[in-house]
Amino acid sequence: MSHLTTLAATTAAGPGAASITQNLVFWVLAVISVTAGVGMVLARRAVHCALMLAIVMLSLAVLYALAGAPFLAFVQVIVYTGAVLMLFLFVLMLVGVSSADSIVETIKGQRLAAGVVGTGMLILLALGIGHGAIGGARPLTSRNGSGNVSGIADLIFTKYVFPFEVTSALLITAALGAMVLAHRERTTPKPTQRQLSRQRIAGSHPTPLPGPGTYAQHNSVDMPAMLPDGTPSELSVSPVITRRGLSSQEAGGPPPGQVEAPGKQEARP
Amino acid sequence: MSLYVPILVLAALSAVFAVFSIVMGSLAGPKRWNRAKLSAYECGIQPTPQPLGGGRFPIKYYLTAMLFIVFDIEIIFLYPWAVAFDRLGMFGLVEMVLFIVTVLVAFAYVWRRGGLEWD
Repeated sequence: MSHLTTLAATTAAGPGAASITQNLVFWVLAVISVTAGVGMVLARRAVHCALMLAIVMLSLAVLYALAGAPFLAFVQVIVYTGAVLMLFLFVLMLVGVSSADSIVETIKGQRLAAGVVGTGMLILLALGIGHGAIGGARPLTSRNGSGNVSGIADLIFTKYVFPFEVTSALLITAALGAMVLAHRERTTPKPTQRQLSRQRIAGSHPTPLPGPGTYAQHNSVDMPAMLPDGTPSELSVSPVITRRGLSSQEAGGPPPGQVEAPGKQEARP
Repeated sequence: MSLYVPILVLAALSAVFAVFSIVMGSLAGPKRWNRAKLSAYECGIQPTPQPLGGGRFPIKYYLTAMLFIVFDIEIIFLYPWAVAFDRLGMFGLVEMVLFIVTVLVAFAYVWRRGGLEWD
């Protein structure tokens, strides 16, 4: 506890006065995040890349917290690790987890552009770090005077109030783009409750469907109920389960791997 | 830095709890395996083989994920505003309401176009 309070004091004093704990955490996280970053580039499976990226992002969050920027640290966890990385994973799942990437250059001049952008990024980073190291950067205390979060609030609502409002336009664009890309317009009106119940009464099976059987190897959902004459009732098993590659006779029978193509099933009303 | 002590304590507690549960479970629990216990648990139904290519999610989830990000970012802006609410006063309130209303336009658009219907 005592070293943490001294750490707080040194953090408040500025970036120049780093304590042993701060240095230790920095180097541990540096090794972890660089290893994860290299792993992200080298991993063959896209999901593994995304998980490596999560490690890098979480390490960054702790580094931000260490540098006296708690708000940035939590934004890093909530927005980047929680939402953006989740979107990455969603997109991976949409495309197909194990769909292979083409190694051939599909966009003309892509490698050249990547090299140029990478070099530019390197120069920017070098300039930024050099600027901070030589002494042009201001200590955090000049902004953290009344606490990091309220300092950010002051900036957002005074100097950067217009960019802040424009952010909402950016968010609208994101939602609109998602609608344009992913939404399929409904061509027929949605059936109402009234229509659905009419359909059911007019159909061949107005009563509730029979429940599934009582015992199978794993549970009873995929086990058909027995009719009074001893034959299994196909109606008692959800068509979703049978469609997934199990006929109801097999459910609870042979282990997976021997399952066949979906057998014929009774039409449900 | 003392700000993070509760978080560190919580992380340590959860780590200790997880390790303790797993170790104690494997030490103290009886081990009587059978085929059903060893098979993968897939919400109770018979484990289905993975589809070719790992399977793909419906594209509808993209909209869900995007809306989640939109509202996540909106909420992130609410935190500093809430902390500094007393000092910002009426100006801060008006700006924040303006911001929220603008983001809600996107929400209303998605809602009226039927983007939230799931069928």
